[in-house]
Amino acid sequence: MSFLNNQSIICDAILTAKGRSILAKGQGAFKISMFALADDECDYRLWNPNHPLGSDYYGEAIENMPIIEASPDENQSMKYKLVSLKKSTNRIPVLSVAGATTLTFTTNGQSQTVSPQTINYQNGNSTFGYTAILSDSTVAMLEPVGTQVNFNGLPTFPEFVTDGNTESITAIGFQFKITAKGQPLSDKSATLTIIGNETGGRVTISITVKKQEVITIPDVSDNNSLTDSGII
Amino acid sequence: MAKQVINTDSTLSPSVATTTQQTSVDFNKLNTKTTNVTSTSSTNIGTLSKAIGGGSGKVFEPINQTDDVISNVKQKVTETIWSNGESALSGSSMYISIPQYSASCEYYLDIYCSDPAISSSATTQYAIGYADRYGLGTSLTPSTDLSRTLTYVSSSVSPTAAMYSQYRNLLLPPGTEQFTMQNGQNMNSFYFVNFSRNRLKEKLDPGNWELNIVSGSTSVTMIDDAGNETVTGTYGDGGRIYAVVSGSIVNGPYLDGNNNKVVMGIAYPDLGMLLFNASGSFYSYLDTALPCQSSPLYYNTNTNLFKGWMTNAAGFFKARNSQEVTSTYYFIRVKHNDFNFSNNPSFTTGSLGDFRHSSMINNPSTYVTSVGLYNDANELLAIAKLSKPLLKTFERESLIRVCLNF
Repeated sequence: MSFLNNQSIICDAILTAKGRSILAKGQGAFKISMFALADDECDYRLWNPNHPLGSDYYGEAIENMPIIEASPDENQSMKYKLVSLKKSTNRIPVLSVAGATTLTFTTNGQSQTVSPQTINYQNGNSTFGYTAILSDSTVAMLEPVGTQVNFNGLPTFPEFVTDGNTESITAIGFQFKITAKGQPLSDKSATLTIIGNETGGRVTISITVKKQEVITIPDVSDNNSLTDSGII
Repeated sequence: MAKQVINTDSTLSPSVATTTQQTSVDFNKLNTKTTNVTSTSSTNIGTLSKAIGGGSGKVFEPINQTDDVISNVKQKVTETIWSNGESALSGSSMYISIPQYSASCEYYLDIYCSDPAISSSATTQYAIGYADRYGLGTSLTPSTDLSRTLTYVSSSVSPTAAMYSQYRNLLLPPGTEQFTMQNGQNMNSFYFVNFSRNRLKEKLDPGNWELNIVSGSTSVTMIDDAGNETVTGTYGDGGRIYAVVSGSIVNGPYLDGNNNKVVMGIAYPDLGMLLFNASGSFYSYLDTALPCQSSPLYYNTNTNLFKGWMTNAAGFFKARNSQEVTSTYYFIRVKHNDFNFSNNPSFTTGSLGDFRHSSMINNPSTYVTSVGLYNDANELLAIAKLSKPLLKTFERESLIRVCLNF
């Protein structure tokens, strides 16, 4: 007679960078109130419904897979969340951004509005909307437009771990406006990650702002020779 | 009570769903300024969502703060103090840094567990040095001055006197000049061991360090007397105080012919400091041929002398650190109706969210590998990984205990 699996699992958690940041702020700001589950490492292509030993072994390859240790970078964790849906669900809600996979800007101030959508699920994310995270604030500006989401505690999603002076921008809404910032030195790129606040799906858009040639006009007040040439 | 951010009813009927706020967003009308994108088929949105029905999904589950959280659980954790993970640091594994030696050997010497001249990852394990109330034992001390008075100390620049003053201020009550050992003997000079802060963690584990130092054919093994459960130590300005005695961890304190402990110094485990009397029993055991206090010939040698004893290949140093870890436990209850579908791209095939395996229709199976802990603002504060994927189906419930240490 073998031992029963009581399905009680014990594991240790680590603080994310965001968690440490909030913990350092003190004043009782660190309060865990919700949980989510994810299966980032799992490849369901390994699920084998034709396993010769039967249904107990369909997931054998997945179950024997070692798990990678947790990363403190909250942006690289919990990518693929498990979601609770009706048992009769036959398609997973999918996020899309009206087909956009790349956005390219050529001039400073050029803007585009991104409207994420959830297909396969009626009213999916229609209450709490989407979270958009622009990875680099020096590339563009990000702001929610249109109908506002009634969601306490904005911004709500993790910031990117960044280097130097770059930082992420987070916004919550139903659609988002991206406005390019001038890039005088070289082309610059960033990613815009949009996450469904209810269904948990995510979609990533690549954003590129092209280098713009800056025309420099000398200050003629300090150079009389330019006046002679008729520039003024 | 945690704020419920997302619908908790995963089986909302269409009629219920329509009562939720902001359900009338028309994505087609809103998306008017996008230019560099190719539009997906708009028919997907209307027809497929109607075909499936239902309300919002749920990816976040509130944690019951009363029943599912145990906070402020304290637990003592000990481990070896050495960065190489060994229980004992042998004398042959102790190194010094030449630059540090040149700069400050009159005050202290840092001891490494690998050669810092070779290994860039060598880290300080502890420091040793010599302190003398009267400033003796250093090349800066005038060789002819044996007055040993406080007046002498105050007018000198002796590093050993400075070190003595430092320890006195740190470990003794104001106005007290001398260290007094458990047997009543005063210490006017001592060798000291300071453990590196990052090795010490919180404190030295009393009763679980053992120092064996060797000089010539003589060796001395010392412990503190905290290992004896009848000894609770005393408490002073330096925290808990134990006697440094001759003995070993295994056999306990050595008892002399009169059934007394051989006291050799004072241990301050809370500060990670060990003081060894530079005269008396400790010294007589080691090398009476080098009377550090009685002759000016050896003023310059005391720290180096101690280093020689400590780093003798035949010696060793065992020690553990100790810290009190405060933990919070979260009991994550995964109910049978929840978390049975996945946003993992390999869970589906194609662009419309079709299940990769038709056998999962009405019988989905997912695997849990990560537990994310969030605050009310949906910020991921902590994450736990399971040791192996945990199967989740509509027929399975699970309880995951997540421990978060602070």
